[in-house]
Amino acid sequence: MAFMPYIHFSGSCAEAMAFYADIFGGTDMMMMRYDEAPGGSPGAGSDRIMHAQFNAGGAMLMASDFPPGKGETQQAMSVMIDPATVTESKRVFDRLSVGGEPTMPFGPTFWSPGFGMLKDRFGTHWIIGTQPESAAP
Amino acid sequence: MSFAPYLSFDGTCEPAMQFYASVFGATDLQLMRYSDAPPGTFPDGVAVDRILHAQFTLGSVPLLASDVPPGMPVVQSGVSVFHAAATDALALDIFAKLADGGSISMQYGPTFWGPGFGMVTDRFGTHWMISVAPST
Repeated sequence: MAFMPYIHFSGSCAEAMAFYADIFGGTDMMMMRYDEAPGGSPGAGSDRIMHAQFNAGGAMLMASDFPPGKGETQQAMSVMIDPATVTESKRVFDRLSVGGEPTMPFGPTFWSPGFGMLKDRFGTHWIIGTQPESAAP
Repeated sequence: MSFAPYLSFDGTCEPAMQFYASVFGATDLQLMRYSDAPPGTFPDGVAVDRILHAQFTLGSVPLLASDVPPGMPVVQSGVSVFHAAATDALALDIFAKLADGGSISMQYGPTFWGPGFGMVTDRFGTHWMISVAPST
């Protein structure tokens, strides 16, 4: 019943989701290509991803590629995660930042003991906010 | 830990989140304005009426949003919010409410992967994927 962020890529979905699953310890990775859809679907013959998802400790991340020939840059939505410790938040921030760009450096704020924002190398925007009640580290 | 969608609006965060809370029947909407931040966080007078952070919770995952500062127009693209309703009727009702004043990109109905699915961009520019939770 929850809300889930659904990320749309322009051909890099498989690589991005494998990267995220590795960082978050994702299991049950499921990927379906447009080419695997029943006949008549728009992406026939394409190896782009029609739907991908994995679980990470009960949380689900979902994504797809746009159909072939289509694509849009991710804008105006971030994926927010709330690790239990500052140490874990910093680890995730550093891993996601490789090849990407921080938009707000990781550090303490008035609402979180460890907080940062970044755009990763696949164009996904992340907000990493350690749960406020957690004790450092 | 959860993965939660955090939406950015250009001044319409408050009416958008009130609309979403009403559509999904949430009663715990929180709104914090730029002017509610501790003194010195932002220059005086900046975006006093804009929303610095808003959220409500459905199940265990929040829907989060804020306004960008003035002069940084944003349009949501390349991202959607996915929601699986408990029943087909509920999903259809949510879909219809979100589509009011918005635009439907895929009409709600049965697909090869499930009994009900649809995609709609609402009048605030948020892209939604509405589905039905698998019956248990």
